[in-house]
Amino acid sequence: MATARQLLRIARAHVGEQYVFGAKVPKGNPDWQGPWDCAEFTSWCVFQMTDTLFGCRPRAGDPDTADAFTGFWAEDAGGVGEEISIGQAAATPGAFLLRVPEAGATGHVVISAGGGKTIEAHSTKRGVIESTADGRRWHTGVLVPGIDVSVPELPDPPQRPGLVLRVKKPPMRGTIVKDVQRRLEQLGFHPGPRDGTYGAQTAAAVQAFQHAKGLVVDGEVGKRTAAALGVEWFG
Amino acid sequence: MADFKNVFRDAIAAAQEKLEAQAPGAQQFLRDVADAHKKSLASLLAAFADGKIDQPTLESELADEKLVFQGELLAVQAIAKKAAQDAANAFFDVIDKALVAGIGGLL
Repeated sequence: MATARQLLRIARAHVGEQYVFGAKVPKGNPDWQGPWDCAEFTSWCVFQMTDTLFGCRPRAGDPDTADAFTGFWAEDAGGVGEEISIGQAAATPGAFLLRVPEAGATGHVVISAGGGKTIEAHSTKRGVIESTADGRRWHTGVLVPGIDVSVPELPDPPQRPGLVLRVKKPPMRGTIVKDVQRRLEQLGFHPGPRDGTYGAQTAAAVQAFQHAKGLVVDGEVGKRTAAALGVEWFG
Repeated sequence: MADFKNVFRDAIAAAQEKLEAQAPGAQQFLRDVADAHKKSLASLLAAFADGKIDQPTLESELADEKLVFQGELLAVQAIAKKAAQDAANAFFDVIDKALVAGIGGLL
């Protein structure tokens, strides 16, 4: 069985490489050096360690053409994998942290290096980086079969992100949404009517803005995207 | 108007009381979980107090915070499911009640 240390070693060897949103990666190629996207990076690392596809479809297909996606990570987390708490995953080297893709929002998946640290294919601007789990929105932690990890009983959970505008039911509303819509409009993106409701059209404009600025393309507005937009934020 | 620092302290105390009998060893863990939510809660409450988000949005966000809070407690074997739910309910009940009266000292 692969160890967390081996997984982290192979992931760290790719820090600094290029990120391209939607990049496809041949999971069977041990010499691949990018470009990556988040799910392709994590699935490639898993395949190098376990010879098994995780978070990919087709699951038993050719590793060089199988498609990795955060939605498949979510399916496999609840199936062949094991879900653990966000705090446990952030504290466990070799676990994974997952933000599930939702309507109007792209997911994200990272490798936990333990102690709240991560290794991830982050964004066009930053590429593959070492970062932290703090202040970011996660849905669950994931353990992948074939990777030996030690989960602490009482972990120190990562800081919650505070206000993150996103598509949800009921829709998020307020003057801060109007502020975001106004800035998007001023910058040449098209958020739809400036109605203070964070809907699919606004999320799509945010994604376009994030893509243009090399940020994480998730369609959500948290502290970093707000700063890039020039919108005053809380916390 | 209650001060956020005091509301937060009372919320932790209410949650700890629910865990005291069943998982006395998890009191510090509960405090760590609460601390991970502190800034986030303050920023959500501040956004609401400044009129930047409406009440249904705040309520929905607090419900999400509560789910994550409860999820962290549920992951610990020493904490039974009901105790985790009771502790999360107690913590967020204090926040909800204070919200009705108004909370200051947020950021």
